Amino acid sequence: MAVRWSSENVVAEHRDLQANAMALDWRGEYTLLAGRRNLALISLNKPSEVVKRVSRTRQKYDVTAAEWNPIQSQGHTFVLASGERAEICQWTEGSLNGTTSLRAHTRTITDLNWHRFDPHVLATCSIDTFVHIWDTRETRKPVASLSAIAGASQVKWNKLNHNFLASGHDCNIRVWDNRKTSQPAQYIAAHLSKIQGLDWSPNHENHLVTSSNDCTVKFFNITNPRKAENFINTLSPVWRARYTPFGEGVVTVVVPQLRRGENSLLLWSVTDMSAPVHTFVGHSDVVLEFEWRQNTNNPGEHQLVTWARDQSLRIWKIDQHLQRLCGHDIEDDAAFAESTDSEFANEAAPVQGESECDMEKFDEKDKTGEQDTLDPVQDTKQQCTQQNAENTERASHENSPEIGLATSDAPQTYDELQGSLTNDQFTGDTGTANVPVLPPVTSFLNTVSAPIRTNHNVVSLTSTLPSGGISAGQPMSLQQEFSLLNTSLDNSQVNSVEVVTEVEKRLCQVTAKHKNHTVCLNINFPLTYPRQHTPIFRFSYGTTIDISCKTDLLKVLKTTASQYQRKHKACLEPCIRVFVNHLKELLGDDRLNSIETPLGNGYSGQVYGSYQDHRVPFPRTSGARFSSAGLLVCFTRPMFMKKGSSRTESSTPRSLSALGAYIKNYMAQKSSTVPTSPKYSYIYPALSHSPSIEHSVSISHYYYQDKKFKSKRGKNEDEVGRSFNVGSVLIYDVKSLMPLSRDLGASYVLDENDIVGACLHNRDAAAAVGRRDLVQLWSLAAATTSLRPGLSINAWEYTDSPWILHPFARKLVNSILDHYVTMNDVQTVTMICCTFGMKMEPQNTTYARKGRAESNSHLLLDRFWRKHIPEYGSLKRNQRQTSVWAKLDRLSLLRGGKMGGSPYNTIHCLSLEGWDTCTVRHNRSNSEGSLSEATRPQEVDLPALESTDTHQKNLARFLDCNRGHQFDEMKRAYADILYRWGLLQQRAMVLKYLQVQPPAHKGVEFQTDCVHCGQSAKGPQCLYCRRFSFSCAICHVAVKGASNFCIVCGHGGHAYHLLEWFRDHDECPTGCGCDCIEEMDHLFR
Amino acid sequence: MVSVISNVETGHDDMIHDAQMDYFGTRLATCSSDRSVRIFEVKGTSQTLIADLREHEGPVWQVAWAHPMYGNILASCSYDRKVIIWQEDGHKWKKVHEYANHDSSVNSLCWAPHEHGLILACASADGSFSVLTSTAHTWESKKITSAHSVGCNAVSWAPAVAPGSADGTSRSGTAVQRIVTGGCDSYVKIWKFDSATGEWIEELKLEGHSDWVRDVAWAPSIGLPRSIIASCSQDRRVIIWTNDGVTGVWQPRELNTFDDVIWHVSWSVTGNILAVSGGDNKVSLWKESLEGQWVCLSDSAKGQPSSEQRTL
Repeated sequence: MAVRWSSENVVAEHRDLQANAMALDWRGEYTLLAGRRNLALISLNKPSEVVKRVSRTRQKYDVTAAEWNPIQSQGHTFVLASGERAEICQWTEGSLNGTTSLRAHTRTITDLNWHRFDPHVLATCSIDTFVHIWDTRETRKPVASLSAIAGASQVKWNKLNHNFLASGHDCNIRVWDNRKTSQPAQYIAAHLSKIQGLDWSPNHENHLVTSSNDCTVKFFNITNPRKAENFINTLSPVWRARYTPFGEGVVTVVVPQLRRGENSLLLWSVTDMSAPVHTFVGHSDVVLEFEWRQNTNNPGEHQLVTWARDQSLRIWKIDQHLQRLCGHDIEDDAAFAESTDSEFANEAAPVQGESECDMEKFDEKDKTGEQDTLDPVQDTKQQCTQQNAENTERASHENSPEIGLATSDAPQTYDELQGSLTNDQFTGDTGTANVPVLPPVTSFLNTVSAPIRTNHNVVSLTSTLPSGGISAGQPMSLQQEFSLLNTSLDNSQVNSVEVVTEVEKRLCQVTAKHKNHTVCLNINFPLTYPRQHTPIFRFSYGTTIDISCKTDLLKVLKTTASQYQRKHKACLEPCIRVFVNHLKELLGDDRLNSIETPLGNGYSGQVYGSYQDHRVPFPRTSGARFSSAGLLVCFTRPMFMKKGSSRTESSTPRSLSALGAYIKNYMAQKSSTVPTSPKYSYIYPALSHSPSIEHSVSISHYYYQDKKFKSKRGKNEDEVGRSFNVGSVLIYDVKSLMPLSRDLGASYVLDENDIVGACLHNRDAAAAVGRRDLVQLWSLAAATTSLRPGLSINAWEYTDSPWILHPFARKLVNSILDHYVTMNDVQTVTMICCTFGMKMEPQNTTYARKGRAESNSHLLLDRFWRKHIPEYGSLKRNQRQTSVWAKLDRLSLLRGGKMGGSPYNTIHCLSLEGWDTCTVRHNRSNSEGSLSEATRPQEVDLPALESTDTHQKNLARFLDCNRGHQFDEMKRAYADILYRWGLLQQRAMVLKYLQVQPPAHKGVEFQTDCVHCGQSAKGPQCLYCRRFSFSCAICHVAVKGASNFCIVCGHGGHAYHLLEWFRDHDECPTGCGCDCIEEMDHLFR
Repeated sequence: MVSVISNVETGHDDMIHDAQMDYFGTRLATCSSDRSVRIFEVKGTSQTLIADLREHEGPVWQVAWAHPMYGNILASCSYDRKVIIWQEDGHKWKKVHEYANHDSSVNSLCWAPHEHGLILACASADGSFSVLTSTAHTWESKKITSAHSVGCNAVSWAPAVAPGSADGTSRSGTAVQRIVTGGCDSYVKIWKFDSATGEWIEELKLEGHSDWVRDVAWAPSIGLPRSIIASCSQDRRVIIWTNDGVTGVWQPRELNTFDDVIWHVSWSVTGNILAVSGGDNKVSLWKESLEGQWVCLSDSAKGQPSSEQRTL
């Protein structure tokens, strides 16, 4: 745990400076403190004295950022951001001179950063969303402008790659490539809240750390933007997080303004995110800025220079102990530094200076890297063909003795190696093991032509390369060691081990998976390996074992490595073996078992935490939906669930990826029973576990649960416990809010014959449900229809214009309709429309066939026959005659004007309780004329009647005929609602008033005529005589289900019976003489 | 008066993400993070569980009932990237189709108006939406990729009466199929089915929100020529888009800015009331007044039904 001691430090107060920003020059000799009024230069050797002080006159804005040029050649230059401008100043010979100001931003500049390698390049960013890149030699306008959507808070150049820079915009990071400024090279949805700090790793080109208002510090690998590699949770928003120049550490500062109590700087080790390794105590107010410097007197010692709002400058000593806590191994470092230096010396151009040639070095390195990567590709192509054939021979002939020994010792291994590393050519070129320096990389690994040549070697070999095999003489080169690496491991020990070697980077990555744990070990080989130094072992991101396991493993590894190193022997393979064995022992330990739950098999996305979570919207946990007609279904979170209290922003996150982070937060704060081991390393720590365990991830964890929740009613304890996370679903009746009422729907009537009566009935119905507006409406409707000129057009005697044109007629109705249409009251609108509208007759009017007796069930096919089968008559003379007779019968009925005799009247076959319309109506036009017209038998046709109808309708129309279609839609909408209410008869009634009838059923429709009374009947029961209308020709029992007929003779019966009958027979079972099968055949041909 | 008819204890083991009644208002379907879909028969104040469907392998986000003319059919979509269509067969509910052609969570689904046939649209976090059409024995799917960058959050069908055909003139053939979608790119997009090519084409892109659009809802038509779409967003706003059917322009009107993220908008059956619900566990009902203003009818703090005693 963090020991809070005040490390030896220097304090200097500068109360009068009111500085906001601090910057250190490249040597760490001077520090610049900048505020709105003053600039002050302080020598860190005498921190209490101000070397130079310049007052900034008439400055409106505070200094938001300041930075010295980090490169020696321009080391006297620094830049200040103030308002919308950035000013470049110089400190030359004891005087401060402002030289140029950079103007392009339109809002306050929030951050700036010098290029790490090019002394003339500078990046600035601002709230105006732009990141500008400047060349200080050409200051009129930026060299490049990077445009984003959100305002930028941070901009930082990569510390290793001179093309990349990253900027923080609100919650997101954009990584830009200097060469392609039109769009970001990478986009990372990093945080849930504003990003305050951003820093690139000094060790890894692709790693960066961000700190945010959402109380987290996250580590990203920009090649994998979907997921943070690692993170730190704090209790307060984090102002800055920066890597330490040594080891793998990070220093964080909490956001000013918010938490006055916590001003401490925290030092963390990347290897253990659970607790800081050190807390710097001293500042009495928030720390505004901090920077690192090397102690000039003691090169191994780093110092932290901080400037805080308490206007004090402090210098903290980071001794070797602290550095070691951050994973910095002094000896390793020295070795490695040495090796890197020599590496540069070997590979790159001669070193000119110490720090000023950083960039050149870098360039050179890049170039050589490129050459290295390009050449082998060409080489390979040539060599492949030439050398493939001779490979084996050459290998055995020309290999160095060691290799020769190895191969002869284990020829089988060698063969297998050749096999498994498909194209690995072990040519003589690489076999020159006596060369102490790294030989030029040639065709060693030509499987991969990408810059990083990797050698995936999933260990599955069973034969062994005895580690003692490499024994005598000179140690072999790294390639040899890599290529001969044979980690023949017993697979039963550990689930899987994967070894990836990268010769160019002198790096070997070992990934072992065992019992749900992943251990990623990076092994770096200094150039001096194996003669002088052991490899450096580091655990990398993704390692899930806890710190004590890591320490154990490292210890074992170092011991093993140093044993071999003493003998100047290659140690990679034995190290890996030891590593695997030890890992197995560790993970076999009971202390780890407790947190191990086997990963559920099957679908991997079964729990939250897939990499695409950032695009999945945060789940709804409450909501309301209108359903059916007049119901509102609400589902809620239980009342005792609140949003997490630790959250800083007020609104709910948008994507599911937030869940993991919050659960982590919540768990860390709320519960000490969280498994400690895998807590870091994954952003969704608990997610890899089976959802059945206690801490499975659920959306409910996002909501803070009142821990005092207890059922006060003991009897319900079990029940409550069971549905702890679930609220109930409430179904509300929102009828009162709707313009419709089911009661009205049920009681409304439509009666074409007695419109006034229907209106009055509806008025009473409206009164019954308390709709006073509708009472008024129906009264008006009754009043206006009572004068409806249907009975006699000339009834209106006082004027020529019909009543329909009176303001109280059509205009009144239409304005009423308009009103209710705007209220979306389809019920009222529809009822008014129907009351004043015309019922449209279905085209397939049912024929009344009274007085006609038939002994058998009969099919009514006249129309069909007439249309389609001209020869029908000749086929069935008798039948035809019957039809003609029937027609005549109808005409005679019509002529006689008998009740119910007209074929063109609709008979309401519905026996309705509420509707009472089961009557056979007369002529709907109420005019005598139609009857007289009908006396001409030949013209008793639909068109004739319709023409009169149309005339009548136009006269009687209260409704705007142009809106007919619209009203039809409303009727349909209302009919749909009636259907939902289960008021089917009312629905049918309304649908009869549709102006445009749905297209009639196309195709043949069959209808049965009742056996007993001769009425055509739909369904098994005749509605007239109440008897079963249709009996089977075979069994003489009433047919209710599937039936079948001969459409020629009209006889039929149960489908099964007929099927059986016609299996053996061709003629009709009734003996009517119809050869059904043949006739039907003939008919349809 | 708004009153609680029924209080259904669902018995889910985890958060409920959706609850919907069927066409007749007799059955309730709920879905939850416990990966199950449950169907209840609700009669008066009592309810019986009639099915507990557990085929999903992740939290189930949404359910939708098909029109009853096609039978008792329910569709559900889940984090497990699947859409499952369930049908009642006898008294058993069975999975009749599973659609797993999305690369990420399926966030929303909506049945087409029954006039078009048995068609389902579903929106996925992979940025696409799919239209599944039931044919004689199988389901045909059409996936419209890159509908929204990042992800597609919501989908809703236009009512079968397209605004153009409801102006009183003749009903010209079948209604045009339209879909509205909302996505992480803050756009609301209207898609039209081009029956000539058989493709869905982007007809319009409505810009108005400043953050993820969480839900869209096309108001049901009652025969008026105008169309209305409601959309809600992470930006805590609800926008009502109105197309008068004459100019064809969608006029946005901001309903309100709420205290928290708005997750869902739902229209009443006649399209005159909008229910708005969001992250703060509250529901508010909005209605357009005769003057064309949207007014809040009630704020319901849920779980306290007594406070919802409001009269119109």
